[in-house]
Amino acid sequence: MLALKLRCGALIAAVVMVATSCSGQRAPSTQQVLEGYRRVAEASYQATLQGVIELQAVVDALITQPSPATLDAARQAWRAARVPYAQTEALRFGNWFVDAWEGRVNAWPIDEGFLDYVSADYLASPTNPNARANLIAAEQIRIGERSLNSQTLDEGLLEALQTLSDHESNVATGFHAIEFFLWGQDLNRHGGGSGDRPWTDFALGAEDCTDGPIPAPARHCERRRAVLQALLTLLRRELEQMTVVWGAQAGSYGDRLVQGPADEGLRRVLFGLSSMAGDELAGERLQVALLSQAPEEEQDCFSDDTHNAIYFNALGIDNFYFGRFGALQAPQTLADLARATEPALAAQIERALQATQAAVAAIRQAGAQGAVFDTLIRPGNAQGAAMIQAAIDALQTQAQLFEALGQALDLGPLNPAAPRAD
Amino acid sequence: MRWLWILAALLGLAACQEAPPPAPARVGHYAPPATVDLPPEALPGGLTTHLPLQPGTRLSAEAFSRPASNLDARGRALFTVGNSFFTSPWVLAPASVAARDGLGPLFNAAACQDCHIRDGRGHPPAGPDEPLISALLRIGMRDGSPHPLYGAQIQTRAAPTLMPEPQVQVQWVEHTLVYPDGRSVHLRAPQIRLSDPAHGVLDDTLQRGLRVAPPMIGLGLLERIPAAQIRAYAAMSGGRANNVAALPGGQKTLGRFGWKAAQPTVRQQSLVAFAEDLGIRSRLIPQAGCGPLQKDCQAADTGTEPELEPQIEEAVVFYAEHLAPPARRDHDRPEVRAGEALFGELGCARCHRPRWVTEQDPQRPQLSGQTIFPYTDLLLHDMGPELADGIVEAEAGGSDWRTPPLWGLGHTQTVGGSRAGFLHDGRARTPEEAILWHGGEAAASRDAWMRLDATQRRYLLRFLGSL
Repeated sequence: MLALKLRCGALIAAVVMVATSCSGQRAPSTQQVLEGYRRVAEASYQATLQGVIELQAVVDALITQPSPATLDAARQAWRAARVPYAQTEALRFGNWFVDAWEGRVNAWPIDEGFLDYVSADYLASPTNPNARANLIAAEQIRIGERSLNSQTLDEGLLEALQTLSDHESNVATGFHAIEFFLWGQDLNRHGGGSGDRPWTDFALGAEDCTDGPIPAPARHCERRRAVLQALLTLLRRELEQMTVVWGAQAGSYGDRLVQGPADEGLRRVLFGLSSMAGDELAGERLQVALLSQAPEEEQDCFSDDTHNAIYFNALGIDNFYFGRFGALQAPQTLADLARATEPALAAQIERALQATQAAVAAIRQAGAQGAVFDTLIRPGNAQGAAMIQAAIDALQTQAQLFEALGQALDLGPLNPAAPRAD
Repeated sequence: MRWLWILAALLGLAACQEAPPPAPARVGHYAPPATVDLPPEALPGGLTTHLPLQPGTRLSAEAFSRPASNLDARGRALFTVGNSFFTSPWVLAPASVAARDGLGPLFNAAACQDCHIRDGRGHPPAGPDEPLISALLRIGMRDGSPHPLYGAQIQTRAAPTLMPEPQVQVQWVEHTLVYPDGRSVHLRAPQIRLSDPAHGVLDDTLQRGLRVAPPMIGLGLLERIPAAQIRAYAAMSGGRANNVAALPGGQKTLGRFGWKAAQPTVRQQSLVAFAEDLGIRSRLIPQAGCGPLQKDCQAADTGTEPELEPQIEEAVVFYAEHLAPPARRDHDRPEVRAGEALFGELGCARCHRPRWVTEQDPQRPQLSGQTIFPYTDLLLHDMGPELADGIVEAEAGGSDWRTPPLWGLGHTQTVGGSRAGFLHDGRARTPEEAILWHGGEAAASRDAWMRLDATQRRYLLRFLGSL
């Protein structure tokens, strides 16, 4: 019996091998494609959660032992956590709750004066009554008709500040609030160079505490340490939740997406990828920045990490199309589906994705060599503008091709908010 | 066991011989399409209408901020760029932020969104201690001419080097109105004082019109209702067209936008707002809100080139044209249907005309040929002395108001909070109060409303809430 079992095992393996060797000719089921999408989503959030856990550990070290070294380590860990995070953003627009969640995790731009001291030439929204609230120094913050006691800086207070304000630029949670506390304002305008908050803004000794260039009461440093701790607790909690949301367990959003109506799922996937490429990355991040030429328009302006954010945002779109993240390769992917059913269009899409990769890799490369994003959008920098324009064009082509794929697959309007004209 | 190997080989062969599916292929396991079985009146913006992103849920505070649902990727990208310039604050000119400067020298707000809160209505001030934030004051002389110093609008903010214009104080004066069945409702009307005039004393006869920002949804659709049909409908509703100057050139054109239909197009309305509310010059409006005698303002605003760059103008106008009306809720509930019938019987639907079809416009395909339900005739009506503010705009007199669209009405406070008010100055805190303010040509409908029994009134309000 044992021998027979082995032979049967070999037999099954052989059948599978024969079948998979020609799988390129067979269209995967939509359900398999959606399962691949779900797995990439879960893996991307798991990696982000891991990055945030590491950031939290390093920030704890900064809090207990402020020094140039611990501050620098925290900054490096922040940059590292952004790498997987940026790749998850391709999930935002097809899946309604991700974009809402994103408002607590990735909100920007920030009126910095809402959170901390600012330079004398700080430009705030003239109509934001809280643009100079200075959470670090304030005992009380008045938002609309409510007055919040801000003596204790904890997670509850930050969440309340984030939700109560009518002004989106009053950001009190998420990656960019952490970024601002780690780097401080970027005062270099178009000159390159990031924010330069001194480690003494977190100093333990009563004599050492500063507000940037000037001495400050020890209470300010204590409060900055408390804010950082609370910000990390909140961010970790958000990512833990998102990892579960995309898990395989029955009833999770990911599971319902996979088990639900197939064309509904595909519409969400394609609309999400198209929107991330065209509306968000080409439009909001790149075109707006190019038109306004304002350093405030770069998303990671305190850390000057925008060139990486753009690169990994674009890579995220690739990930979901090709069903991969890091070492993970989903067995059935949107790319397989497109190749099997619409080979010509699939080839066009893959060329467009390559063109985008080349364009965003050039921006990343320039940033790594010191030509960071705010110098690329400097008025008169024709070469920088051309680099950004190339990325815009490639991303828009890509967005339109995702839409064309939806049409070719006969999915009807992709926008999940659209009425179906049946 | 040999037969097993043969079977395996056959299976493998079969798999490999299976031809690629013919294009265009049907993919996977198609579930029946998620049909939205809705009649046209439930989709007030036609195919531009947006439904809740999560099926089965109610729309959130974003209900007025979504792009037309039928926009393609290229259109959505332009919409997104426009949204950014609608939302983010402009900064005082000159500043290092090259393309986002130009605010002032006089201004009411720093961003469109400051007044059009989440693309919805503005808030009137709660009382005399609160400055105007998302509302503004139009002014004029009795004969309809602008004030010689301050022009047609008070800008309550100014660049640091300038003398500010008067501060506006709003005091609410309440009175009580009693229905025949004994129900009483408190109504409030604004009394407006101008304090600390820096440039001299203001005449008591100055006309003062408090205005809150109107919601932004469906504007591109309203723009594409055929003008001839609107003019022809005047005979049916008893309304009048406002004939206004279209810029550049000043050719008389049907006015459609603003509380008195003073602007003919979304573009002109937007650029007038840029000039008067933000102090930003554009190609169409090359001066930014200084009165003829305001020398310091003129000295501070010497440039002639547009501060609003053409590409940004295109994006913002496109955005303003493509904000979509939300889908209706509960349109088929019996009490909503009953309210809809009463809306017709009382004569409301005569001016608040439900249905129009937009014309074909090759430049704006998504807005073309849509059957829409805005509930307006876009015409002027004399609404009586109680609503009059004495402000003249083109051919609209002091008591004339354009029938405002009612689509999205039920989302007003979800979007704008409990302080988002109805009517031009936000005096009505509820749709019921707004109905009770209807006078002049609408007095008979208002009186008929007051004679309804409580159940009928509830039905009609349910109908309005379903929009």
